[in-house]
Amino acid sequence: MRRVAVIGVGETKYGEHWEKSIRELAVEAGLRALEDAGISSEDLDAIVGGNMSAGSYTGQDHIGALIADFSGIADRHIPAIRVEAACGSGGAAIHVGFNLVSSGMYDIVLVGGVEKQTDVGVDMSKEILAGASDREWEAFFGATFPALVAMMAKRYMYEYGDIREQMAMIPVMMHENAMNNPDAHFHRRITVDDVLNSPPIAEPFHLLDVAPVSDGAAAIILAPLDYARKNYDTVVELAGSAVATDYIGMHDRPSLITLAANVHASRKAFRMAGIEVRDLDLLELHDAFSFLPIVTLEDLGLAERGKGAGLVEEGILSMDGDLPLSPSGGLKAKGHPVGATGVGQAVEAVWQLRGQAGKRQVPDAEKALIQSIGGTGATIAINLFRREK
Amino acid sequence: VMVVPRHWREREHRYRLVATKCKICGRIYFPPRSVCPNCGRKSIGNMEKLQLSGNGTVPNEVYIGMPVRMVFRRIRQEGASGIIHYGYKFAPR
Repeated sequence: MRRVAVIGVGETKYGEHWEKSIRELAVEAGLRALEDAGISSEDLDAIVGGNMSAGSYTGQDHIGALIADFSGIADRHIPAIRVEAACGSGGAAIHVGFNLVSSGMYDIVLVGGVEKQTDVGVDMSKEILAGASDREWEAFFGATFPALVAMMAKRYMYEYGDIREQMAMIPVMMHENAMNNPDAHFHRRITVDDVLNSPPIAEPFHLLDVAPVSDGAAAIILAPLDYARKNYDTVVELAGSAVATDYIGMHDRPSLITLAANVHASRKAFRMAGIEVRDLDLLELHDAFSFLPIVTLEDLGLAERGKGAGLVEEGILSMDGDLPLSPSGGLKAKGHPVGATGVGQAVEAVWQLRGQAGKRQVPDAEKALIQSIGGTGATIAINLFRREK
Repeated sequence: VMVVPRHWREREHRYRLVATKCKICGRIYFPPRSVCPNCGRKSIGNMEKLQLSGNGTVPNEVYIGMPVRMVFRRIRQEGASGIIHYGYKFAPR
């Protein structure tokens, strides 16, 4: 097993890109990552692309080859393969890319992520996203995605008491962080009252508890750690990478107030990286719903069971706290172009660890964790990054 | 079904035969490309739009040397009351 580094990162702005097709978004992000690494598309040995549902969203499948082609390298005939794990596609693609380099099979691998969601209306988008749950046993009966996660939150509140306000603090924090991220979908401050008084979606979630649909793409370039040490001044290692799965339907899970895949993936990634959870300097968590970071904090061992919401209230996770949560603005405010999201988290982590995050820089950040959740937690990818001193 | 934003995004090449040209090597691409496969990264920001004349000749393999011109035509329709897809076809010149 070779150790793996990230030598280049890039992303598009997230938001509504009426003027850009899926191929243009993907190529734009990929080129930025190549430019950042100071290499050319001709230097790539393989491409891995995270994408949930290009076929349903745009009518275009087979996007691995499409993107290699429109990056101008069709005549190099390198492998270019799409990875799909619903909303966790980006994190899963990083894991696949990690293994391609780590195994010694390929040296320079571009891991991209892209989603073009605004070509369809909201009802259609909801229908497509429902494919991340169990279509026959959940979606068929009318359980939308928000409704499913709402059931987890309700069970949590049944066990541990009302956390509506603490949950609402997460979107508030995300919108605050996104103010300093030029690539973010939203640049608008919101308050806890705004969240609590926004239209109900599925109790306890209101509109502002939930991430938007966005267009966007992100890309990172992986290489052997030795190559990075030889060619770059600042080296960020992809130190640990793990994906775990769970029952796809929530009805089969022994508990609704833990995501077992969180526990399994994070343990494995921490062990691989030789990093302890308390060593982390920042987190990029999958806040598609405001409840998810709370249960994740508990699953990662950062808070005891039932105390995740308290951690939010204490302010530890704000930009001036000990462990800033999603300086990028998270899924809620940076945006959630599903297949791109996990890769975009890696872009943010690398900028943070290199000290290139501008106004949202976490001082002297050295270790970062990113989390990508597929469906209601049936796939979770955890990737850990470490800057070499 | 082709969604509305796509009709708008594809209007230049579908309705008017707009290609791209690499300012570095001079190669012309239709379908248009934002990256020139010949010049790679150097071509970024150096691809300009180019209005094709619409006049050409059918390759010998297909129909020996027939001169043609671009015409604007209805390509297909989404059912009896759906959106009409327009685009280019070629007619003998």
